[in-house]
Amino acid sequence: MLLTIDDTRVEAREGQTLWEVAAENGIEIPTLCHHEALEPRGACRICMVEISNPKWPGWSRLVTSCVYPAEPGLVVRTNNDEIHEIRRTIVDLLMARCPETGPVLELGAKYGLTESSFVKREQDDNCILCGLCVRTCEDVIGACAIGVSGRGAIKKVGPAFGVGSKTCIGCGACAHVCPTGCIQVIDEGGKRRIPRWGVEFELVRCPESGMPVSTREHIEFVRKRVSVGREVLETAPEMKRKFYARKVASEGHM
Amino acid sequence: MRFESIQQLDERRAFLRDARGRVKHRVIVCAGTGCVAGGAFEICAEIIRQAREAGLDVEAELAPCGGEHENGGPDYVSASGCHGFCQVGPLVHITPEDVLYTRVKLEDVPAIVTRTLAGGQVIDDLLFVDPASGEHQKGREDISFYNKQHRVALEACGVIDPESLDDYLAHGGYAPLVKALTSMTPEQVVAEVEGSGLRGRGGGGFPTGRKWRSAIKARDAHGGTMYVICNGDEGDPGAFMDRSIMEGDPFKVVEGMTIGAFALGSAHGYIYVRHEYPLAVKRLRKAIDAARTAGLLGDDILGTGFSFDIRINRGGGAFVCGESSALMRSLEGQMGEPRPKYVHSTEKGLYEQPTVLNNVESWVSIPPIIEKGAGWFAGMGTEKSKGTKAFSLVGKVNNTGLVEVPMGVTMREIIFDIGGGIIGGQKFKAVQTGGPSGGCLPESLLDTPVDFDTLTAAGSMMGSGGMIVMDERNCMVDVAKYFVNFLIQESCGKCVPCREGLPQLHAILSRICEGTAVAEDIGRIHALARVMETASLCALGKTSAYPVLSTLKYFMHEYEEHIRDHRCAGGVCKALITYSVNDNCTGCLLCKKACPVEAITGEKKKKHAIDPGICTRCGVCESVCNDNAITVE
Repeated sequence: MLLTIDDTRVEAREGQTLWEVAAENGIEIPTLCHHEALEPRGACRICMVEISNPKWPGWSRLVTSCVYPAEPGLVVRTNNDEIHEIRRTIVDLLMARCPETGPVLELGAKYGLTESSFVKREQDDNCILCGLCVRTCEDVIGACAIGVSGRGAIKKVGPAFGVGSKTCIGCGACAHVCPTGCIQVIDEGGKRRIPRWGVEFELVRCPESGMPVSTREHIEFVRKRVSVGREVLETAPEMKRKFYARKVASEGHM
Repeated sequence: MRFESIQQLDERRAFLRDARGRVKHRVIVCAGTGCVAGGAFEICAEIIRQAREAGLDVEAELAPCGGEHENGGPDYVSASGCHGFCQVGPLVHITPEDVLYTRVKLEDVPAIVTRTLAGGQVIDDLLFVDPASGEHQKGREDISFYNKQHRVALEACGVIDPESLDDYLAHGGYAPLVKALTSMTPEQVVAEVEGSGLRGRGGGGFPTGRKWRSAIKARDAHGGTMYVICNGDEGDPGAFMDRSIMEGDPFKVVEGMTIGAFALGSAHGYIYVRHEYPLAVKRLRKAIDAARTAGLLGDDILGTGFSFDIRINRGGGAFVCGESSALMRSLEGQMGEPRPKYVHSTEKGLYEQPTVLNNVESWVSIPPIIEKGAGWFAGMGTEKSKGTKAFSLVGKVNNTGLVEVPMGVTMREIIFDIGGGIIGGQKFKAVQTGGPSGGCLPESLLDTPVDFDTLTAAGSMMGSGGMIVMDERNCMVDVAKYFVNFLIQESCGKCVPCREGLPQLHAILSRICEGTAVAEDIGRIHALARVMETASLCALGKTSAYPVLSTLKYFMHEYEEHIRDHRCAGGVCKALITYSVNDNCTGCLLCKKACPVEAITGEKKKKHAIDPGICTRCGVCESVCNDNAITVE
């Protein structure tokens, strides 16, 4: 199907969202809660765009581009005064909550904000409650070690009852998707700690190089799901090449 | 007993109607939540016990009233759902004489039994006293709270025993379902609902027939299992219409959903009931069990081959779960967060299947529409808002309670004719409609007809039907702050404008109430409200600034007084008011004794004084003073 984004005719496939179509065509729409590994959620509201349709002259509407499905003939405007004001206000609100969070500050700078015009909110950390970590843990990894408690302004992300979860495998995917960097994964002294979730793991070392690879729990978790032996999983990435080279040399295949 | 056929149901109904015809006195004790708190169940049991002791022929159920009885027939005594007149409960209503006893206590039972049931007399002391005329009014026909109402959704509430399928059948229950199953096609049922002009009673006012039709269209196009849901997660402050219906006429909720399921081709229904409504859950559960046992729910209903069943789901205590998409997520066992509705729930609702969700009041409107026809329903109300609407009338009004009126009646009629005006003859200031998504309307709009579109145009909304009346002792900034605070607690926190915007709105309002705001704060409210309205994800967030915007629109002078003059005309905002003793003071020492911080000085029979430096503005002195000697400014 064909639609128009910012005066450019673009091709879209059935089931794509406006945000995806724009991204595919190099048109950047800011967002703070999107990740390609996850279903879009429409939570941060920064990616709002204006849609109209030549079939209905005079009609236009502001929608969230990350969840709005592409429709043939749609005319999308990714910025105008009202959208600018919405984005600026949302970033302003987030800056009141998380005055030290990098991506929020960077976005704020784009809208001419150096500090929030709102009252600074009391908070513990720089989490913007985008929910990416929780959904990655649940939907992508399948560990379900963290969740959301409370609602509204006092909503919090963390393990149930604030106690380190037994189902956490220490994979660190939560930190990988976090846009603010407020989830720290610390590997030191042969241990991995994720202080935010209150968990600590022994790191398995590569038998060849002695390099720490990952947590025992993570390796076992993966082993149950893929048909690759422990000898591969426990090998440091750098050593894996050697391992496969030897295998091909002796067996003629991987 | 299980009805294997429609004929068996008709025979049973004929028997029950005959039994009802033999009843000498029908004594109905209101057992809505308010009256239950006042001891309604004990009063009901006591009436039965003492009447039997006095040798009266008393039945507690309808069926035994059938057959031959001596002395002109039995008295049938039972509890019922809410009668609506909660202000003067517990209520005991006796027909056919139409005698309504108010504020009944256990001690009144002997008199009711001996003088009224046995002696046929009316006990004057237990009648309602009209606050305006001082007149004792005998029954519903004489009391303006009742005789100006027009009850459709609440028609059987307070008239039948909500726990008795027999009573419901005798009252005409399940005749509409039989009519739909035997003489109508599903398409005809949809057409009838469409033709009635019924609009969703949950607040949005979306045409019910159109909703049904789009779900059918989606199912026909993409296949899937159709679900029907009853939204009983009523949560607006001051609203209790749906609770009263679920408690007072649960079979009609079940029947309405069954007719809907027939029209929509659904086999699965859910009733999502607010967790804080245990009595509604209990009565709905009884109704579902009784209907299932009688073959009116489950497989092969009345031998017609149509199958449908209902499950009850208790809400988790979140206001946002009254929002349809959040409710569906909650039903699925997920977190109750709304999702964007670019794809409607009629297409992808519960478990991503086509789903029709209607509010309690909408579902109970279905049976009478099927029975009496679309034209009958469309004959009531205004051009675009058909039928009647139930309201819970609360606040500073003489007759609080549950009322139902045709759409198009003015707010003045509801508040002054039915509600009996403002308590203590005070001056009306505002009426809040539509709950936290609604707004406050001033006296100049009292003659506005109540319907979906005029209320929205006035900056408020119909909402589910809460109506909170306020007088001169309410501060409109404080009211706005109250609703914003309510929404801070209830925002799910998924989207940023609602989650982060509400606390900031609250911060501005708090500054105004504390007298530290500046004139620019009004502009800040407008700018923030605009973003919250356009950018929030669901209706809760989009409308969350309405209580503030409507008070700004109609009561801007109060905001200005707070900011500029540091004055709160309602005498509510503690930082801006002072308590002082005026010349009415008789020197009785009552306030001095009551003051928790010893801010009051004075001697007996001499005028007292309040030290504003010590006073915490708790208001105790004012509440204990019998001489109106405390001034709040």
